[in-house]
Amino acid sequence: MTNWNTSGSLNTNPRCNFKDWVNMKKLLSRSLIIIVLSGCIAIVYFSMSRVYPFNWDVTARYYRLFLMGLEMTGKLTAVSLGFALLTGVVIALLRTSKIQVFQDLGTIYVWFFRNMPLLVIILLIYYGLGSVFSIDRFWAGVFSLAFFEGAYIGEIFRAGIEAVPKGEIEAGEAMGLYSYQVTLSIVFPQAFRISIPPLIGQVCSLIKDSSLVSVIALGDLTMRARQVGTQTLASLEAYLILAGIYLAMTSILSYIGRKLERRLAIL
Amino acid sequence: MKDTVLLMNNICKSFGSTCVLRNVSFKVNRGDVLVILGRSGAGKTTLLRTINYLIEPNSGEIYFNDTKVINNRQIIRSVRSKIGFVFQNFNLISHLSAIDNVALPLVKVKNMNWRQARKQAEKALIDVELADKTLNYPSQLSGGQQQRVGIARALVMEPDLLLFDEPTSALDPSLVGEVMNVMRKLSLLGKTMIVVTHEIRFAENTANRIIFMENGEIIEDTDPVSFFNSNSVEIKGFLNSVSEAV
Repeated sequence: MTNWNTSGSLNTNPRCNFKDWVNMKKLLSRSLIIIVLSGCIAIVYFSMSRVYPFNWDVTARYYRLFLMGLEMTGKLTAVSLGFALLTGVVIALLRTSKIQVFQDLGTIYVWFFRNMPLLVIILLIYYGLGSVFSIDRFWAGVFSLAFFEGAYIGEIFRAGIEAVPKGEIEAGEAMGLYSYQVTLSIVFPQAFRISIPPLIGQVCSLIKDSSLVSVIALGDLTMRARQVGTQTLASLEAYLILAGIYLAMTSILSYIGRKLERRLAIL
Repeated sequence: MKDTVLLMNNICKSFGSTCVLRNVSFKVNRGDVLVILGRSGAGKTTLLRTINYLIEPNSGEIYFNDTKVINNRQIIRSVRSKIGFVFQNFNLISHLSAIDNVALPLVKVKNMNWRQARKQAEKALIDVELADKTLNYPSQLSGGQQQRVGIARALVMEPDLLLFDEPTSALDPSLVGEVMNVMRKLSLLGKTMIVVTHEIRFAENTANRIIFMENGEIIEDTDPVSFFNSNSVEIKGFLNSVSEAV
């Protein structure tokens, strides 16, 4: 994003000089933070390694387990995201409906799933429902996550729908559009754009929350890291790697989200 | 022989306990340029909105092109598709470019495909002198330009009646002229228009009829010459307060 003047000519526009100065400050502050932070981390790491023998080699040998975990977490996140988005659209439509019963149904759903710890939902669905119906671990995990995140995504979409200017809806009505046409061609495209930033945050939450499915022995990243830790007796190394992978995944996602947001921005 | 486009008969509307329209009746003939004047809160905007059923009246009848307008999906759709509405705050769809804003009703109500609709939309934008702004988004246009897109959006459906709800009230004084010029041009083309406005000069120069409202009632329904020479206390008071403001 830096706006260096690459043309080589002397730029006399004062506003551009100001911009360069701002960019310069940004660059300076960031390099400073990186240097100081890596220094701190190095100090902590080396003072710790005096009492704790870091053994990276042995954890590295188990990289296959991490890959398996990554695959499971990815699959789990992707499938539950699909269902969560679907749930979210339905909940948002219920919550913004003009019919009282629908509104109440939506409210009850959101009330329940936002006030219930995800861990409890997973236990309820897998062990609770699982004792009545036979539920596959994977699908138990998917539906727990989808129901839970669906409540939050529903609220995000509802806020997006309510943020569409009333005048534009009225304009659609005045043109003679049916109300479903107003919803599809005026409300939804804008509500979606408005929802992108909080939605990306919610997807990051979904990735992080998916670590809880390890309680039902679904082999996601967290469970695999624990396995590596117990088998190699190098728990700290395994969990540091785990932390790094989660951080990398959510960072990449946030980056993509920012790009998407900019591309779809209503000018 | 004049044919009637719109007939409003004994329209009443109240919001809660406040009565906004009391037994309002009037008739609009083809080619009329009717200006509705009155103070804020006189019920002008409410009256305009009952015409295309954006507000449903409590009682009274509306006849548009000899069809009685009732609360029925199909009837309301066909009536609205024949009545162009221009809003005070433009109300353009912000994620659509100017041309798509104008093409939208053609696609959604007349079931045209986008390619055809854009062709027609472009013509409508040329009519309001925005040929070079077709691909701009509303936020990239000035208020006056946005309002002209709004007018093009109303015109593209070839309406029998155009409603203007204070089309210049949200504009910079310097931008009022361009919108007024377009409206004047439309009146010269013989379009039937009902205009709620505070622009007294438009009423003086362009209207062929003026309705003056106060407290939800029509006080006067007459031609501009006799309106501006009226002896009525209310009208004189209104005209004085307006000329003081200017």
